[in-house]
Amino acid sequence: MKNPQVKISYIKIISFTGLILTLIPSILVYQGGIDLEMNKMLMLIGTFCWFLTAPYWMNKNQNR
Amino acid sequence: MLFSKKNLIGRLDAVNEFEREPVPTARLKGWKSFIGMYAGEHTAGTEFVIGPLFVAHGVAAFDLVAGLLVGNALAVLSWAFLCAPIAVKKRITLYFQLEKICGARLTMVYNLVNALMFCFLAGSMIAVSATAVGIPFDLTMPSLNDIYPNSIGWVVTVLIVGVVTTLIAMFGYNQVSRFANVAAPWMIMVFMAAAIAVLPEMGVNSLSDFWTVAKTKMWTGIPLEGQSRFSIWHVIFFSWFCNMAMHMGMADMSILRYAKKWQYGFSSAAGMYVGHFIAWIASGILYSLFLIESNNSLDFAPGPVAYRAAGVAGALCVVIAGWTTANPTIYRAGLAIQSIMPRSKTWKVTLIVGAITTLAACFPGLVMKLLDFVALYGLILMPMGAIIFIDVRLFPKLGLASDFAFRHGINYNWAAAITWILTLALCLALNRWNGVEVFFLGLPGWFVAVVIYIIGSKIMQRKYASAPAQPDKPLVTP
Repeated sequence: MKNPQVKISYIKIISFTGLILTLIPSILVYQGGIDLEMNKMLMLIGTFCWFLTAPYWMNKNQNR
Repeated sequence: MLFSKKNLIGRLDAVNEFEREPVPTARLKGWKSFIGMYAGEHTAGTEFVIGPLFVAHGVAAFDLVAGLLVGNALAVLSWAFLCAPIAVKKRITLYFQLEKICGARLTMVYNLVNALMFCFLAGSMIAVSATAVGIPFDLTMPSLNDIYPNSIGWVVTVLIVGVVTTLIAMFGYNQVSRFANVAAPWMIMVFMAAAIAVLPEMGVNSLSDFWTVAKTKMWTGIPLEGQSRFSIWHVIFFSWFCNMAMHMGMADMSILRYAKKWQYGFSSAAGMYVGHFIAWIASGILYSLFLIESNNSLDFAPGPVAYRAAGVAGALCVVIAGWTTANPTIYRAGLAIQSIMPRSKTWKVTLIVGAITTLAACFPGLVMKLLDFVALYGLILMPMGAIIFIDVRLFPKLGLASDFAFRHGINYNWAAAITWILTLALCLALNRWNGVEVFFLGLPGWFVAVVIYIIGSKIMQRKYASAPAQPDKPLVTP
């Protein structure tokens, strides 16, 4: 991918997907849509998505 | 080789935190940095302890919500109107400012006390992290009555967590800030998600159920056996003063001196309303479920409680939450020691502080008595914050000289020393003989400190009236 901005945008999408995966499944548990074990697994996947991608763009301004 | 010894030492030595000079304009930081720092620092390991301890102390649901709203507002105002304006005006660390007012020797005493307090606080956070790290090893967890280490496994786990935390802190504020920035949004999500996911098990099946369940199953107003009962006043004053050392005690001068404007003090609201409101309520919900399932067990381990609700992500959250509190706290303690030994490198000092902190973390009593310790720690450091506030903001208007020790080249400002000692003595007397709990002593103590310092300084400065003084050379950012 040649354009770094586009690359960052894709990385951000993965990061925010990670945050959504961390929070939203718990609401589904509350509504009876999924069980608690499924929620725990989705939260863990969300956690990996966040920590593997967020450092690439979150502190970009500070690094400069 | 990226981490050759020479390369590593060079990087560590390059960590320049402006310990004895104002932060230059080029190094000032924006809103995002402070919001991330405060949100990360106050959505932290302590939240996994304080929220449950409110439940254990039998806080009623209305008292909790109303008390937190009011107390946190007062804390934000204290940061914004007391600490931030002085931090931005002076742009030096708390410790260097104290040295200019109180003299080197008195500052040394203060710094030793301060560093010790920071070590204990960071130590309790390392202990909280250890409760999560120990889950896969089936570690015997501490209980509410434990003071001393209960197993070799506990000590080994704490040592591992302490070493890693210290290594991160050794690389300075920027690295800590970056780590907190990345972890903060995720931690907030985990706190909320963990609490929401267990609501059905608590009997909350619709929003209208929540308040009824909150009053009858979560914050019932009935304390656990052996615990005192907390009222709304406890909640208000605890949430206001749990960070008293940081705002009214001026410790956050060292952080907010990097702010472009004093209004950045309001960024503390990110920490207060996310961490000290949402996270305290969330962790209280998790602990309530634990109490119901365990028939009011005295076991007290945030790691397993979070793991029960959110799995591995919950346990990771406890570990990281502990780190994001312990890291800046070790950094602050390092600054305190550095002002005693200014020739020492920041990273070497941080290494020593980390070792003391890790040792303290081996004692679970530090976690179990966290509410009392946090209140006491703020109280002990508060009088010096009052002295700085009066010296910077009021003395010019009263015709008294600011930075008196610096101007007259004295090592010991006895007016400040007497203020500190008498204020704490009076607070102790109120506690011992009038039964005023430690949570409520900060407010009268601050006004007492102000009065004593003004009177003491008037007397002292009169004695030095004929002595030659250095001209007023305020340190301002170029």
